[in-house]
Amino acid sequence: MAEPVLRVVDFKVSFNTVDGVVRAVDGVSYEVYPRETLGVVGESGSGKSVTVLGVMGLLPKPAGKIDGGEVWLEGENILNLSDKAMQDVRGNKMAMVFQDPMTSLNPVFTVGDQIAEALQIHNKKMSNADAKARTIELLGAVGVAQPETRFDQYPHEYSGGMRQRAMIAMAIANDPPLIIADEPTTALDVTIQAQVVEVFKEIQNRTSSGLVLITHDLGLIAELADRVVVMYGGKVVETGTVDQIFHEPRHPYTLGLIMSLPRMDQQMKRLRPIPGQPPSLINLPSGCSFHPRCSMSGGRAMCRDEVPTLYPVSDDGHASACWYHTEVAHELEIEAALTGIEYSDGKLGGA
Amino acid sequence: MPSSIRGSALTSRIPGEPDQTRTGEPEFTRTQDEAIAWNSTMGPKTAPAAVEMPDSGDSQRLKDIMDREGLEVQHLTQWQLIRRKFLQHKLAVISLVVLVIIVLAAVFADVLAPYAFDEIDLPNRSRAPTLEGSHFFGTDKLGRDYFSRILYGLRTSLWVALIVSVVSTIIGTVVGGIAGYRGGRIDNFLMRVVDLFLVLPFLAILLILSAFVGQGSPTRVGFILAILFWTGLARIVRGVFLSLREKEFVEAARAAGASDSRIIFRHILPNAMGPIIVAMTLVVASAILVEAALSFLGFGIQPPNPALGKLIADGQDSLVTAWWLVTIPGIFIVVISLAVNFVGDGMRDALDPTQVVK
Amino acid sequence: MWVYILRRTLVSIPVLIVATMLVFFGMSAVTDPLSQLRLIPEVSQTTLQNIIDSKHLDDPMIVQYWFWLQSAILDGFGTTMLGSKRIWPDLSRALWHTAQLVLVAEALAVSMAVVLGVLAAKKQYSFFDYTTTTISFIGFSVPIFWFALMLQFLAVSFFLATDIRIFYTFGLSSPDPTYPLLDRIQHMALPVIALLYVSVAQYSRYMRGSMLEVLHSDYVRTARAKGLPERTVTMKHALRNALIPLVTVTALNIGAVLGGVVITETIFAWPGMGKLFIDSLNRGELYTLMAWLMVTAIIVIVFNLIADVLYALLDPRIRFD
Repeated sequence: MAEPVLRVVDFKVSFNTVDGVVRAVDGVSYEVYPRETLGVVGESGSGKSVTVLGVMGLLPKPAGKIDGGEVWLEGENILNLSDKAMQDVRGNKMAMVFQDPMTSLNPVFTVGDQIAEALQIHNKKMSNADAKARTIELLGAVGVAQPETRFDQYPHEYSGGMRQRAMIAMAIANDPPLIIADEPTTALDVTIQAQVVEVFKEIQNRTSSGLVLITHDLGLIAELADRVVVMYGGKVVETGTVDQIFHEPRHPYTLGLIMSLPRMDQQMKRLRPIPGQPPSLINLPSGCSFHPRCSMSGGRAMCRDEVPTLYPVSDDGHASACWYHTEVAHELEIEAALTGIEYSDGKLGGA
Repeated sequence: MPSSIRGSALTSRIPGEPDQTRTGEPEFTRTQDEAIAWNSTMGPKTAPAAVEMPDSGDSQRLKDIMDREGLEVQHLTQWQLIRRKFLQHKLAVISLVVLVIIVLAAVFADVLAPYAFDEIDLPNRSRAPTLEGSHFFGTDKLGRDYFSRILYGLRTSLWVALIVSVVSTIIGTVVGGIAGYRGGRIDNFLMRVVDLFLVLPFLAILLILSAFVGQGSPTRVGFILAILFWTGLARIVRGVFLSLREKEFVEAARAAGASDSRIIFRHILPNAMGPIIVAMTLVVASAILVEAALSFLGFGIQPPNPALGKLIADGQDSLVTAWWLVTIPGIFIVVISLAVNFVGDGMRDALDPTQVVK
Repeated sequence: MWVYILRRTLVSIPVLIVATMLVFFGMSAVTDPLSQLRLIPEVSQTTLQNIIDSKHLDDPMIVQYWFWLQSAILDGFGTTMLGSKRIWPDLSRALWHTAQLVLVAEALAVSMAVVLGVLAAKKQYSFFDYTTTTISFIGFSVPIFWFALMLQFLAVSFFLATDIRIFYTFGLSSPDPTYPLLDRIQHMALPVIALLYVSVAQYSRYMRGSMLEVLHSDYVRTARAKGLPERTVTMKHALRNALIPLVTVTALNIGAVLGGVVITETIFAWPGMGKLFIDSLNRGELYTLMAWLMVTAIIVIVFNLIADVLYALLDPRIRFD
């Protein structure tokens, strides 16, 4: 296997707030390889966005702080880089697409200028004319119609889907080996979402970049991701391929997520949402963060007292952070029976 | 006098400013459950936390949820919450104390003043502040005790400020409320009227009005000032009403069959109180400054009533020799104005329902 | 855009007329402009009657207003009530003197406010921030006339102590200055400082607030994500957006500044619009006052218009409709 583009090792981020120290990211590790899409799934507050903001060096100051860990981008530890060196990396070796394209684009500059700026800041010799030409190319590549006219227009003259395409164009402008997309479709209408997904698929085909896709939308994961990382309470609770996560989950939280999806293609008897609320990141529960909501825990001492680490569940990279992950395997059959989903051969069927 | 224009000359395009009331919408979206999530902890090993919640009709349901989660609840009323949040602003609290002291001193001027404010004592004229003969702030050119004159001057200025704020708030709220709630033609017409007031420079019109109509007693001056100050308040109230009118809870009330006046008084007005009160404090601060300017120029309050501005004006010629004549009244004006501004700032934060109590 | 400006100008004319009419009626109703003259025994009944006839003082108020309006547009506001002095030359000269003060003061105020506001926003919660905030709050609370007097006090005390005159405290210029420009600056300095103090306090608070809001916006985060140096992010992406509301505030503030001018010119004996106003008011010179109001109203309207146009120029989301 090739070297990973991005390697996050035991990454820790905290925020100083008036109410206390918020441990938003509490020892997160994952890798992204070239040509692959890594999906990062979790609820609000799970730390999925904060992790990548920390990786990019975009944490809000002065509240946000990196408390520990390593971040390797193409073999270089970028946490040690000076501010100036980081500026060379951002937008060049790694780029980010944000959630809300309306507020993420500067309203007083034309879209074309903003994309050209991304090009020219990292290619000092590029002339204005070349930058403009390349920008128009990029806009065309992401599916913006009539890019020559669109170059001179302002963000408020674009539709929502177009703006997000422009943001994507900005991100891929310098052909970065790592692209991070933070909830790229959440702010869009459903029909437009589908279009933007197509753009991402195009990028997957055309480039060799690694893509980190952060979302709470499992449907998006199913469509775009190769591997998945599930996060909860600032930690990684399970990681595996898309197939493994959807059909053979080995963590009660993941199981709960999958179970709470209504399925269109099967007759379901009932939905099984996960009870309770996400934990307060200031006062995390002791032991496993999920145990207060876990239907399988039963209040066992291990769950309450000991913080679980990621255990490999199989030989091919599937890992789960649950002391009783073997029980989860058995639980699959019960859940399937309760909700009416297919079950065969140790796997949940369907979507 | 930029400070007197602040409320009136600004459109809703200006972003919210720390010492400026927003004309945008207040947010009232925090539900009880969200409040629980913010304030609570989970898990049997951690100690139960006390959660402060505003009292409402759902208290029983709330109590059940709290009991289940193992938390204790302290119920606070809306006003208790506001008071508690206010008390967290040390500067605002200090300012409030200072203001109360000054107001009490002014109210009890008759008792506190060692001399009558017009008691002439020529042999003792133009003395610097001293402890002799209780001339704490010295004497003026005619030997009148300055401390007494300033006390009475404070009383006049504060009285004027009170009238201005109350009257202009009433007029402004009524006009702004109607304009904001009704909208359409009435709104247009009323706003044209406000524009008329704005086209001509504030101080100039004020001076003209005082020169011809409003000189003399503090009450009269107060009313004259109020006639000009209400425009600023009307704009703010109009903005608040306009945005509140569109909120879902108004629609819900209307769907339930509530009449217009019920909606206004029961639903919109209580929510508008916050910005209105804050605007009112700003009016008080401005009124004090404007009244001082008026009496300084020789208009406004006439003798024998002492007014702080007039005191300063009289002391002008002896600026260098009898510095206390100009300096001390000025310091009082600054202190009062500062204190009112800080209190207004504290009130703004306290009345903001989205700020969580610590 | 020109259509918009034209339309706004046309709409302003009725406002101007109604406003001045109201003031005219108000003042005519409560004053007798000839009251001073009547007190002088030498003035004969015929003289008084002549004045009444020529100024149409016996006619209904609306007629009087019409005559005044005519003379305002066609004849440079005509002559004063009593002295038959031409109004326009004095008014225009006063206007020029005031313009010197106001333009310099506002230009300085805006520049200082932008610098202070940007720095305070970037260094939020720092010592610098708290100091400038405190000074701003004091700036709101200080009455301008008192501040002007304190400035005079300091200047005169300094002169008395050291015999060196840095600033002049009265008037426009010295009788026979060696360096006229320097002399004018020395006379202007104190009134300008007085005028600008309150403006700077207000504008810098706005700039700080606006800048803070912008610095926490998503598009600034995108700019950083692109790898732009922090300086470019602040000066190009953030500043441009943060300036927009400030421009409007400044232009709309002109009415308040004119008020401050009245006070400042009185204290520093600067022969400008403010002094003209107070003098006319004290003498009951109705026509001069009306002329004054008309001119200042036009200035306020023009500045409001400039505010709107500038706002639309700076913010592409706003287009004239």
